[in-house]
Amino acid sequence: MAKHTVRLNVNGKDHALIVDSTDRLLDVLRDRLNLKGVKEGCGTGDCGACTVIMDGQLVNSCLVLAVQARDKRITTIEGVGTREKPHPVQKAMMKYNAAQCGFCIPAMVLAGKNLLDHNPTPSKQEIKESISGVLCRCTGYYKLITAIQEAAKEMVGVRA
Amino acid sequence: MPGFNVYVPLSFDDALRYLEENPTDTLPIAGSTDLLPRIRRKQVSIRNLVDLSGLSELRYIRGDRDKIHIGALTTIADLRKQTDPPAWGRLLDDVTAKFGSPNIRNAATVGGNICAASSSEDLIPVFLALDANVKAIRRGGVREMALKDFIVSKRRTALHPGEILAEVSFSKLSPRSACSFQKLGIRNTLIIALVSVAAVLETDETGSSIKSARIALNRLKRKIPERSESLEKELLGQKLNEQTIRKAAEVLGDELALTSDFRASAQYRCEAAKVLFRRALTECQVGIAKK
Repeated sequence: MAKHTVRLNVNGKDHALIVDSTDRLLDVLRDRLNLKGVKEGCGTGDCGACTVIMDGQLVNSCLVLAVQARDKRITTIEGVGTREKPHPVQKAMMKYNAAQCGFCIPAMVLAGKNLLDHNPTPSKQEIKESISGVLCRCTGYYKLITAIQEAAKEMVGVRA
Repeated sequence: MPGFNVYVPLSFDDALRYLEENPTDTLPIAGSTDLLPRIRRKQVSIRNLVDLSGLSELRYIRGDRDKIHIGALTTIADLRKQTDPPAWGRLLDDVTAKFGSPNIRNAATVGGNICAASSSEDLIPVFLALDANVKAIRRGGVREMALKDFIVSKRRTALHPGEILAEVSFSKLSPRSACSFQKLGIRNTLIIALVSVAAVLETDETGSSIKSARIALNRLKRKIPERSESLEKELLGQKLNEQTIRKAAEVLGDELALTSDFRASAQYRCEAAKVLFRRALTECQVGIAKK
């Protein structure tokens, strides 16, 4: 099976890795770079738990071959906020207890953050659309939407 | 995951060269949203993949005097981002809003959706209703054909070994036209259509009678997206009003050979198809009345 040398930037750090043709971006992030915040739910693009930001766009990392991620910039949940200084989306999700089981939350945070990066004042409909590719089987969408709305307000306040 | 090799072409020409030299057991891949899950489920077994995702040559939306041209590697998100909505904008809005999820739309391509050639592909009915042509390219040759001839049967296209789909094009709609896409699934996002209907209607100068009607559904007798000729005939020359729409919806019943599966029963699909058809035409009626 063919091997490929792939350069990619993950959470601001450059990596050069030798990958198999069949390796998915998800496998490389979890197993090679130990970024376990990237979750595998269905493995077929239906649940969005493996969502990462690739060159400013949300993608399902289970549907991207590692070789297709060559020369891309990837952001995973490990690159968003810290325990001491959480991202406004994370802060608001904590305030509203938006996480239930937590499995979808890394993807939800990334979806909310990516939306606010591109659209600082989203409508409720735009927020719903932005997280629509990520399934929460605890079905706790209401608090997630509220949290992203609040994060948007906070971020606009900071920018002003 | 079952084994395969990925070839990363250095250029578009290099991709065509590789396809020419490896005509069997080779498929192009771009967004991977359809093919990769099918490989993993062992529904497809393939030895070689050519990764087209890095090639920008086939990623464009261009309009010339009469036609719109869309490169095969244009993503669904690219279509959705079109800020200057052309005459077919309504159709574009409707279909891209209901296509997969934002994550899928960022990766999935126009060419990939068409080449997947099944009743699950939302873009096929839309492009059929737009009477689109497709362009196939191989090393040293280009051929163009109607999309309806390109989709041969379920999961089979008219592509020859070594060829790839390069472009979809269609004539711009006249000012007396309106269009609509209706899709029914059991949820709004990430859902395969139980039924979908795309309609493009054109009226005469008075705006009252139907000069041309192009109606495509995601699944007719051959279980692939097709245009319904008898339905179109039924509409031609008629007044565009509620009575015409209701009468035509009954003809639609005979056109459908819907089967039951785990998603829905045939009977439900049939009733839903009639409702979606009526909604699509009513939306066209409203669209034309506004002009």
